[in-house]
Amino acid sequence: MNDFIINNLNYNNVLNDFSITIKKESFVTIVGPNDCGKTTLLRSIENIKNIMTVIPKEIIFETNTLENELLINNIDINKISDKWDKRLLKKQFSKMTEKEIVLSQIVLAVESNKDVVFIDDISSFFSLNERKKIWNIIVKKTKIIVYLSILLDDSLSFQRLYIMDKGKIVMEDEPQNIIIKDNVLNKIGLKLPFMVDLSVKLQDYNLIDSLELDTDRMVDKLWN
Amino acid sequence: MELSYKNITINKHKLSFTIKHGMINGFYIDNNDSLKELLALNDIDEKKIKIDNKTINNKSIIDYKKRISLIEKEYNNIFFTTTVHDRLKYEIKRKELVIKNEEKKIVDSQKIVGLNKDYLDRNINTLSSREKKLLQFAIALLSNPDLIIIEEPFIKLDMKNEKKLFLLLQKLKEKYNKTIVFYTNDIDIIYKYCEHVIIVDNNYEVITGSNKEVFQRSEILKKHNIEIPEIIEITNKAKKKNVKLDYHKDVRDIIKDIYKHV
Repeated sequence: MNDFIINNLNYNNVLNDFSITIKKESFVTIVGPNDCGKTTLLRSIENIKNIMTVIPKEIIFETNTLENELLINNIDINKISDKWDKRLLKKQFSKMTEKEIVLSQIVLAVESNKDVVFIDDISSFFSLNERKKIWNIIVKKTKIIVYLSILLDDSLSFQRLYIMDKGKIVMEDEPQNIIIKDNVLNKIGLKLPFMVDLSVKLQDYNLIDSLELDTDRMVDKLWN
Repeated sequence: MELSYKNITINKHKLSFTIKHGMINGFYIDNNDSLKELLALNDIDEKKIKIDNKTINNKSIIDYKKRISLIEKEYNNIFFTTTVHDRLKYEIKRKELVIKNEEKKIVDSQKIVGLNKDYLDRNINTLSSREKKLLQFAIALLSNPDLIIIEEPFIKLDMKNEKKLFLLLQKLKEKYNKTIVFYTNDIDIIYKYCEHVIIVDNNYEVITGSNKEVFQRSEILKKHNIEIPEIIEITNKAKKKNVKLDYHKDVRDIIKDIYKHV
């Protein structure tokens, strides 16, 4: 397995010389505002061999359960992560809620033998806490997994954060180094997670001296 | 349009709540599939609901339904409509709307949501998720509804577009006299944008009231295992230390307040 590299891709007048390098086996997120080209990026790569894209609800299952679906895709059920909710495997797709369908799509993709998986925004289906649980399971997979989103809230669960704007990657680094740049991110239209935003701004006023994500410790730091 | 539900059944539990007229109402509920049907008045027991303080029957409910539009969280493709204009035209046909000047209505509902005329000829597949969301609003407005139900309104919108959409909701409420109700699994959104709040916990118990009533008594939310917005938590925890912070909705406001009190 190799790094995933795109060089100077132009597509539908939305991607302009789009380039990205993603290290092999890494778990990364691309975050960008509306109309920056995330969905276009997905469309431009969805038919490439060895890449699997997860676009919520855009799927036609060939069988009636996730277990059978894994089977016909030659995925050994005994080798998939034991952290997934096992009840999902035998439940009929027709009886599943929207959430369960999308989760099935994710299981199918990350447990597949494809080297690269792109997952489009799932924030309309799962709350942040539910998403964190999913990230904790799939971070252990030895493949490239890329999550595309408009929210920075998830980014601390990932190994690397890419910021996309106007059809290009404009920043990349470890998430904790990027999410503190409130001016640049706000300008692009991205909202910092509340506690990060509060920390960064309180640091500007010299009221605290480091990032503090916990509300109890924040209050202790301010008024002790 | 004001809807009062009394002991209505969701997933074998009985719930009572009111959608207040002329307000932005917000629902916080985990399983919203059955809620959606309730709000749209589909398959419901008419005896358990009053609309504008009147009882309804299986005949009048048909007219009420026509006054409601539902905006789902994702745009659903209709394979035989290609352009935005096709889609709007199809909606008029599907809902059998009686409209004097269809073309004008189509242009107008586009204009209200902030899409210009050029969009009419655009292929829907080339629209971004933001543009598709606005198209959904334009479709919903064609029937001139009194109640607009929105599923996860702000999802997949960046900061700028979230603000714009909120302004649109306010305009629909104030200028066009619409009642708005939305539901979301994001408690911060409920706190930030809703005037009347309905929270349904995991045991299907209801906590309801004005935004202030619900969020400034967070012991109740805690008892029901409902996540509390961090911006409220900071104020609550400061109050415990005898620091008199106020409740705020914007990070810049709470920072000014903290600065005064440190």
